[in-house]
Amino acid sequence: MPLLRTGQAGLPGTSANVGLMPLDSAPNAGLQDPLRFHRTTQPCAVVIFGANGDLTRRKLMPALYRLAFEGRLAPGFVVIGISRTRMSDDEFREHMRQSVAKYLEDSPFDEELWKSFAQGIFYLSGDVMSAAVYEALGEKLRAVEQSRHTGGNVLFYLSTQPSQYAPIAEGIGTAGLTKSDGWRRIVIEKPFGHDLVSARQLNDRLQKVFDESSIYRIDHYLGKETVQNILAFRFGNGIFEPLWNRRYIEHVQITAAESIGVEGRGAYYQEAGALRDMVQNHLLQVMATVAMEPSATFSADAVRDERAKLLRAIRIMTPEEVPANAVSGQYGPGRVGGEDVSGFRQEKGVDAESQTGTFAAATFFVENWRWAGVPFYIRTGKLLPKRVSEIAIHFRSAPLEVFRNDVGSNGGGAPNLLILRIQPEEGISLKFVSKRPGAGMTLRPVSMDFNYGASFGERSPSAYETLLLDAIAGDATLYTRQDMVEASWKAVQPILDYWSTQRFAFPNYEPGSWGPVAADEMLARRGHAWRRP
Amino acid sequence: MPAVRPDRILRELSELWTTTAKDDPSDGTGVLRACSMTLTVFVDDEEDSMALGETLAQLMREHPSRVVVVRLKGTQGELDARVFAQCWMPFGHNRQICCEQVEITASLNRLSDLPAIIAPLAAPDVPRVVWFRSPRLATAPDISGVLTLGDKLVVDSARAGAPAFADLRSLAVAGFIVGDLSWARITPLRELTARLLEGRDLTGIKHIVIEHCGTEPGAEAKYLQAWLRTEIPAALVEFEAVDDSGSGFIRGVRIDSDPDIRVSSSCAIYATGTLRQRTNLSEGRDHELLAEELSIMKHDPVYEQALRRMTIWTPHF
Repeated sequence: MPLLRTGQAGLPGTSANVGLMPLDSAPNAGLQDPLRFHRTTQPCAVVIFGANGDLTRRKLMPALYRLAFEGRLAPGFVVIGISRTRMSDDEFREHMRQSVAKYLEDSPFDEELWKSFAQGIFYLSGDVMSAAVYEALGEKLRAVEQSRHTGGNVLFYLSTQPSQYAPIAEGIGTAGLTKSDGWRRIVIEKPFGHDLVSARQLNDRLQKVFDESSIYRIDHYLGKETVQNILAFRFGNGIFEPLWNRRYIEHVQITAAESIGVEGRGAYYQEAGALRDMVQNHLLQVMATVAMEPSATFSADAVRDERAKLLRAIRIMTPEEVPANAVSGQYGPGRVGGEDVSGFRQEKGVDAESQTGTFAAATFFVENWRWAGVPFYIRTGKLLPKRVSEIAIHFRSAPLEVFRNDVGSNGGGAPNLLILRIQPEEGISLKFVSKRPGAGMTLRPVSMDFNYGASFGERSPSAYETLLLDAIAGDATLYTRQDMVEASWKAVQPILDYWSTQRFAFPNYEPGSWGPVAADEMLARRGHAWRRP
Repeated sequence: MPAVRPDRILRELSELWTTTAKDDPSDGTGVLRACSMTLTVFVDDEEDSMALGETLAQLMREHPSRVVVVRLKGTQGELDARVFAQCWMPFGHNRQICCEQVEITASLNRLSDLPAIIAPLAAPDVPRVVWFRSPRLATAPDISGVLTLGDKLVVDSARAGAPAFADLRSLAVAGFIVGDLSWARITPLRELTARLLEGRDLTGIKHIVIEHCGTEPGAEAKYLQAWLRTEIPAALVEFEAVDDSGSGFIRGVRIDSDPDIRVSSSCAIYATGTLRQRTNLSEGRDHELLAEELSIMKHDPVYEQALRRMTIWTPHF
């Protein structure tokens, strides 16, 4: 078809060669196509300590398989699993095959692809506290470097008990496994210590073996698409940032509620509690993402510098301030959905007199010009009415209520609310008031919704896919840094210290409720109330 | 004056939203209207409505749009238009997502009337894309008017009646943003090839064979050849028919290098030296290919370079 007639002009304002380059000046960018190709990663081996554990089976291997399915991993990609259990390579592969087939989400399981992927899976059994396992690992790494061309690149993933982090890192160092022509990185899961002192001790031991730039502290919350979307929302749009300060924002609420109990993790949870398990890491990182200053670039360190600055700006509570600004709760026995539910103290492995909180709420303030005087309310808990994670930005009311004599009972003067939903229905809602159609000036609240899943129907990668790929690619933007870890421990340490001196009248909330009454009172003292998500 | 007036269509669209909201079967929170672009699709009237509807419905989940489907009939006939909404309720959600669709039926002799009807229908402030799927357009005397309806023009060179590569290049030279689903179809294969050649000395590669089915290479094979010739100028890139039946689609690629690389068996198994692996290469359904093109609303220098290579004869020494 003659699309353009001879002599016909092109688009207005375009020259004849727009978008085209002469053949002899083609860019020498290799075989790349940044508009269409995915980010490439170098060949490497991922060494998983704790390879027989739940995290490996449920999250890590399905994520790695999915990355292979999408062709995101380099040819020759290797996984070496290490744990105590005696197994052959083939037995380990079969265990992993079953796990991937079972726990893979939103994807088909392709047996043929698995067979190819499994060729790169190996297994070593041994005690991570013994030098022998590191010698064997060294041999295996040298072998796969030859056979699968991994280039000496290794990502050590510690999916073990936190108490083993430092000994494993030291074992790696002692065996000389940090030295190579390729890169060597280590990924550790939270908790990064159980308080400020232990966090520093852990870090000291890790940094004797690995440079800080090679230590990847994983916080899977930061890998969630919608948490990343907070940055896009704030800094990719021009209209919100001018409002993002104490002048327009009354307060901020961050909620991470779970509708289930400790589900067999009672022994672990008893040592951690809600404040350590969720607030010190995930929720303070989310708060930092919501409140940080814009970074000059989107480079890993520029973004992390701003997050760290925000965390350091959190006002440290005095012991006297803790009772009014932090609430601990523990669920008792009850009924949810017509079924009996055990209280936390009745869970397996939990002390019958346990003082561990399954609910924590706290009020934080950020001492900088942007946020001075704005409360950030954070709450998290087990066996709350629903599973939901969200950030609610409560804007100040209009300065003059011009409709106060006209409005109906359900909307006049209602403050604007911006909801950033992290899960389960990821998205953003803006609530504002609008005139109800018809005679009279009756206002009603309406919601303008952006639903992430509905507006972008493509499959979102899981947090572990994102974070594993980032670690392999050497992008630490979504990983936490030691200064961030220490700053967040400093923020919660006074609460932990104070609570350790108290004897709470637990249990103090019903399963299926929104936590103890004291959490409501904490907000009521400032004239606020928790939003019911 | 055209018998179909844009004002009337826009009014009907507005009424459609009111009706859809009233009929909403969800919990009364209303329907969510989403629009990220205006997509105008030219199809032949005989094209399977259900198949096209399925493609558009799939596409709308990722690129919610105002869709204008232009059904082209023979040379004689009147203009007609109707509006409707495509709605769906995402799993686990309680609110319908709806996109609006306008369907215009026109004969080829009314083609010149279409720009005046379609241009005002474009949703404001969002990109406009025109997707040519109609072989009938190939017989139209002049379609320059409809070209101006899009910020990006998308074709599929593998389909009957598709414009010649030279025509596509003319459009690109004239400043139009052009996309080709045949080019998008080989993205996974190009990406895999790029990955397999990563870190190698490309000047050492002297010979590449693109295996195809059918007696002649298809549009995808030609694009792949042009891309490889551009990126690896030292290599002789040849075609080889490996199966007489079929439409010329790529069956495999052999790259003589050290070690040799072979991508074969529907491009899903590849071998580098002794290392034999399998990867998932999407077959690329139309909505997926179109989604890839819609994500690039600017000039694509790699594609345009390949297009230029295809339309300039360059001897290989």
